[in-house]
Amino acid sequence: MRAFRQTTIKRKLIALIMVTSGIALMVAFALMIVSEYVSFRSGLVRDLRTLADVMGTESRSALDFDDAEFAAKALAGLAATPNITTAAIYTKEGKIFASYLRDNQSEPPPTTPSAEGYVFKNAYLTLFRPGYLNLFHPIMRDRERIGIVYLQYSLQEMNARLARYAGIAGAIVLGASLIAFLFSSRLQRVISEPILSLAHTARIVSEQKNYSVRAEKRTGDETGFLIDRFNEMLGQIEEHEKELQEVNEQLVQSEQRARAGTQAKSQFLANMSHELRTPLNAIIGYSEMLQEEAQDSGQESFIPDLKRINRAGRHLLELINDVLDLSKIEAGKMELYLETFDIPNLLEEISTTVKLLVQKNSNTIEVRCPANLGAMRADMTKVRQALFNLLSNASKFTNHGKITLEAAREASSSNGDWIVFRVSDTGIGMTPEQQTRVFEAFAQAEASTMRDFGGTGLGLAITKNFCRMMGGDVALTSEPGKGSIFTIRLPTEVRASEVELEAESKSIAAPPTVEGKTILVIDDDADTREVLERFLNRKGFHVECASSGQDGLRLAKELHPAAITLDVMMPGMDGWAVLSALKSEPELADIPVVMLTIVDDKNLGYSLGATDYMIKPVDRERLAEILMKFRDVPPPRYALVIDDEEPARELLAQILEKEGWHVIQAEDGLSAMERMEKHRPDLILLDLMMPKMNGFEFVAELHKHDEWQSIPIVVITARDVTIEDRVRLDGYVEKVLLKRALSEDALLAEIRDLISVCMQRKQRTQNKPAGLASTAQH
Amino acid sequence: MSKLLLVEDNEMNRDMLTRRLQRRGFEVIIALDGAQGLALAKSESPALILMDISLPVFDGWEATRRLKMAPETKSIPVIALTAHAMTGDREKCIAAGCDDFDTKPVEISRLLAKIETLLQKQASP
Repeated sequence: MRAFRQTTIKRKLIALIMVTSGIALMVAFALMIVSEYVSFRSGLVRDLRTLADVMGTESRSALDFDDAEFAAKALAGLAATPNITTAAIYTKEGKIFASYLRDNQSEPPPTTPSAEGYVFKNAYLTLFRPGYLNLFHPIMRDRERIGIVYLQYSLQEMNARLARYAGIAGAIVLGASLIAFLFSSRLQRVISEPILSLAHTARIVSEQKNYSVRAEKRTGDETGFLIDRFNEMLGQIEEHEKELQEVNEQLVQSEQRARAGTQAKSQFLANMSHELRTPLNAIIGYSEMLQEEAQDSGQESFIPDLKRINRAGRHLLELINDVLDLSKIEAGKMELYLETFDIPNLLEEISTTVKLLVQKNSNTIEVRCPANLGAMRADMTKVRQALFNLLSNASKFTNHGKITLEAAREASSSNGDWIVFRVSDTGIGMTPEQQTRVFEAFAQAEASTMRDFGGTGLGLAITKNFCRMMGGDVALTSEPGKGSIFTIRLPTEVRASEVELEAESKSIAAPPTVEGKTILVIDDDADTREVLERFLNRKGFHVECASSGQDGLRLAKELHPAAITLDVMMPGMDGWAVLSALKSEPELADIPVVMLTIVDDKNLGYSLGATDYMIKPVDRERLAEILMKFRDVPPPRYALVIDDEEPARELLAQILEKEGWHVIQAEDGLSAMERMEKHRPDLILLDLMMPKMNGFEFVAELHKHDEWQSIPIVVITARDVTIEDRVRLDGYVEKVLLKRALSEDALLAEIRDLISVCMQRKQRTQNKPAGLASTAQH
Repeated sequence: MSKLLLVEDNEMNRDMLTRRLQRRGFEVIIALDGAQGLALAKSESPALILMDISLPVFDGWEATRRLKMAPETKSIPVIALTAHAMTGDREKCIAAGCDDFDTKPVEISRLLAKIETLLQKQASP
């Protein structure tokens, strides 16, 4: 039963029809045979009784006269009835009077008129035994029984006839079943085909995510109804999909608008701050200059006013710089430049810088820092600025007091070590309400504070942002009148950004492969070299560095790296000279060179033979992407694009060329074959519908050549690919892509993916026998 | 006294810095844009160049790059003057081939110290 449930609907239908019609036929025949048997039997009994009656009448006088011989003679007449095997006449008392045996095999009559325990009484007695019918019939005269006739009838003939009947019935059942099978195999399609086509459509939908296909409705029955509902459902999904896409597009658009807005804002701020700074520079500069000149010419009474102008100008400048910093933080443009530095040194340096500021309000400063505190890794400029902001804040709000700067290491079990900086003062302190607002931009404790104490009100907001950027935070405890304590906690090892964190965790998940060849970094700046080396190492590259053009050339010859990144601005031999030298050496000319420069001079770069050109600051992810292409793919690679439509061919050629392929084009299978004789491609993109030699013929032809069997083939076709087609292509081609089922972008992405999959596999199987690479994948 | 080339397009900044440097005894020649700066560097061979970064024709980065590419000017020290010491500016300066940089508004004593250091280095290589 389980096997039946698993079988196809086609077989189920045939089986149902066959079983039903077979049972009906068999029942009919069985009934017929039974009725035939019954009517035959009753006819037989009737006939036999008539015969017995005749026999009785004939032997009446013989019994009267006790003439057994006469009776026997009468019985002998039964020889004309072949089925009577035994006959006898019994006397009134039940003794055998005369008997007849058809031959010596015939069973003798029973000695008394009884059989199988049944004893003859008065009426007649019929008895069916296997193979025989026995009949006892009274011989009557004037209502008095004077004897009994016994007849035994052989049922052989009847049984034979029944057997013949059964045989004919069986044959008819068989024949009818055969006809039923033939009819049902054709008729089941009426039901199974719409269901199968529905299933096929469902598969296309789920495999290709194409919701625009519809199942064809051929019948008005329940299947038709099902197909209608299925199509309705698809319609709804398609609509949803469309809505989703629209919403997505809107989202992307609004995101772009938002990003453009932020960019415009940042640009505006950058421009504004430049525009503001220029006249401000003049104010600050001229007021300073006038101070000098006033001093020289003895007009010292001007000096205090000139100083005020100068101070106001510097304050304004500070404000502008802070606003710019804050807007950069907001726009996410603030970057971290991580370096390892000694903490006691930094504190020493800061305390010197703020000394004047601290002394202004008659305060003293104390630095408490264990001499063996050691180093941390963070953005030193930002740590310095954060501490400076806190210290200048403390100096402003403290009079005749003490300011303490402390630093300590704090061990944490889970997230590694922390460095804690603490700036405490004995100043005016803050109320809890003031404390909640103090880290907000433009929110000094009170609006009047700015007037009394100066400052931009942005320092603490910037400090907080800097600390957060480095994975730490700043906290505050304070009491009005007693002073404030600001505490900065930073990780001992700050990690650059979330992007890098992600990259790092990825690289942990997939440890760098050593497969990739060396990347040579040529840059005179040690920082840049270090940043690039660390980043590229994380991405799985092996990196060698050269600090000058000459060194770079020497290392290039020694290592023959997979790719070179080349700085343009270098002392001595600059990047352009190195690039020219590389390209003029035949053994080095094919190494891809990525120029890294702050100067946008792409044309010069490309004309000198650079493979790519990036403007500093370098987008590191993109650099890694570019280098990934050169990692271990030996150029050049050839792709053969076969399509009779020129635009389609051109489009594919463009994509491939962008990915670094050499493209050979052919307009049909025949000319493709010719091209292949000249140059064996590493990849074939194949259309199916073409004149002269179509795609199927081409694939078949290709597989007659052993040396071509391992070339991956991707079929890109506009025609409907039937299951039969797929079977024809299966095992020969990598994948079948439908031109219209996919958007152009999706098609491009698919092709790109396939190319890289094919190439990777090619790399892996390079040393293995050809043919392995052609294993089909779906 | 040493001859300094000041490349600066803003009139006030130019005037101010020129006067302050002249008061300290430097001979100051002036260029208004990157191209003129390049030409004067070649014809006048100044002892040091003060280079504003936002300049017309081509900017200070480009001018410095070209100066450092030309054999006759590549040994002249260049101090870049940037508007706001943004993180990344230092890298940019070094990448462009500048020998030092300072931020505007110029703090004259700091700038003078930088000029002196570079000139001394130049004198005793």
